Amino acid sequence: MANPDEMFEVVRGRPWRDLGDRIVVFDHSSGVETVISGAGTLVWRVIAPRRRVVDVTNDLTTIVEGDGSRLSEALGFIDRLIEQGLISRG
Amino acid sequence: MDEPADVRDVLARLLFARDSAHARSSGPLTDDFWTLLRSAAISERVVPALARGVADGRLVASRQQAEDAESLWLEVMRRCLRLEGRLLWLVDHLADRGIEIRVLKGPASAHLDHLRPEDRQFGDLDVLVRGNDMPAVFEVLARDGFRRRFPEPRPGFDRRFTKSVSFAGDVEVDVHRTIAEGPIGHRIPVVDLWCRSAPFEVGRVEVHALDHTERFVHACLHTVLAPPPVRLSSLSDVMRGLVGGHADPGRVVELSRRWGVAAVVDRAITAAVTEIWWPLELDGRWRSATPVGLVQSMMIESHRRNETSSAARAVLSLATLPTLRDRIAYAAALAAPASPYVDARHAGRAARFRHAYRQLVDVVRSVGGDGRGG
Repeated sequence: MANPDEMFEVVRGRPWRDLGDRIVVFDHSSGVETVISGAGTLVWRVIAPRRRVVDVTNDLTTIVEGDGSRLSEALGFIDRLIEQGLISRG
Repeated sequence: MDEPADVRDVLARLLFARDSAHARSSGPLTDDFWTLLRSAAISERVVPALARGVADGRLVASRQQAEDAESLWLEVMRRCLRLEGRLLWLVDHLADRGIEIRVLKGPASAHLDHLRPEDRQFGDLDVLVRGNDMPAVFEVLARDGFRRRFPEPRPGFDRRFTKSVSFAGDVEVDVHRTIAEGPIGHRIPVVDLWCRSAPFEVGRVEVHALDHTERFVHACLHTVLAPPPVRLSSLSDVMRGLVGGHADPGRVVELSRRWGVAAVVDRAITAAVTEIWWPLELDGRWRSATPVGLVQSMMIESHRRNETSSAARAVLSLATLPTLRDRIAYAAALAAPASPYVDARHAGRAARFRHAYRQLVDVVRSVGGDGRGG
């Protein structure tokens, strides 16, 4: 999963664990477990709770390093994270 | 939990000595050694340390062993997530009733004391509530299908004297009134546990644990007041307190002396640095050098000996309950408990008294014969 909209829903109010090659999220109310792997783990670590904008930006720069075409998309993603209240400016 | 000393040593080094050459295996792991290591990691509750050791190459594992480690780690973390899901459910239901809780042990240690929550596994949920709130908490659990493991000795005993009450459901939930059982536990003023707290987030919901000082002392109590050998996961919590920088040694010593548990904290620190890892620099203020009296030794031994029952600890508790009124009420409740309480634990009331007497004599003999009981 690397869809930001899906990510927003999954991260909201649910406990999770980062096992390196995969992220595991559990929703107790539904009993549904979500496993995020591959490129999705990179997106997840960007939006992990309590990250500051500067940390997120540094991580994103690292992630998209060498492929500048994705940077504008990533920065737009940051703006949406701030609007959603998932991250805050440092 | 008996395993070869080298297996436990390997796991202990994986917990802390991440950059040390001592933490690296000298060569590929044999299948036989992997089987022992795997089994020990499960029983010692340090599967994350094993998995990280394989993942970062400190243990040279085969592909099959590496996949096995990943699978084990995923399994224990799934359990942790389910427990945290239950924690969020409980916090939400109790908040509706204006009831505060403090998260104890596993989840608190994972989020506050370890480098990452993924490094600390836990198998049940421990929460601290105020004595007067216990009936409401029990009701919330019961309504969702949880069943109390053992009945209350007499109505009102839980809110005044009990350490914790265990509930079985889709997960195990232990509802605590205080943080230690028996004679040691009764020395701790419960009001001290509610003065401060340390917040952390579970799924972006803020929950509260004991403050760093109280949490460290609790980790020490949990380590020492249990029959040996102590799990590496428990010793790891003590080590995290020593090196993590959250708990102040001066405040820990002051608190442990005020609670009358300084000898217990000393013992826990000694066990942690001896069995896991001796830091290059350990602040000398951690050691209170408190002499251990005979009565204190008896109280500690009453917890550590497998053969000693809760009845014997209950008798010793009469020495540490704060008021005469408490002692009378406590003794009356245990001398003449309700039938369901007796039936759940013994063949009858006479058998119960004989059992308690034998255990108490055993404790006195063991301490008197060994000097200070170790």
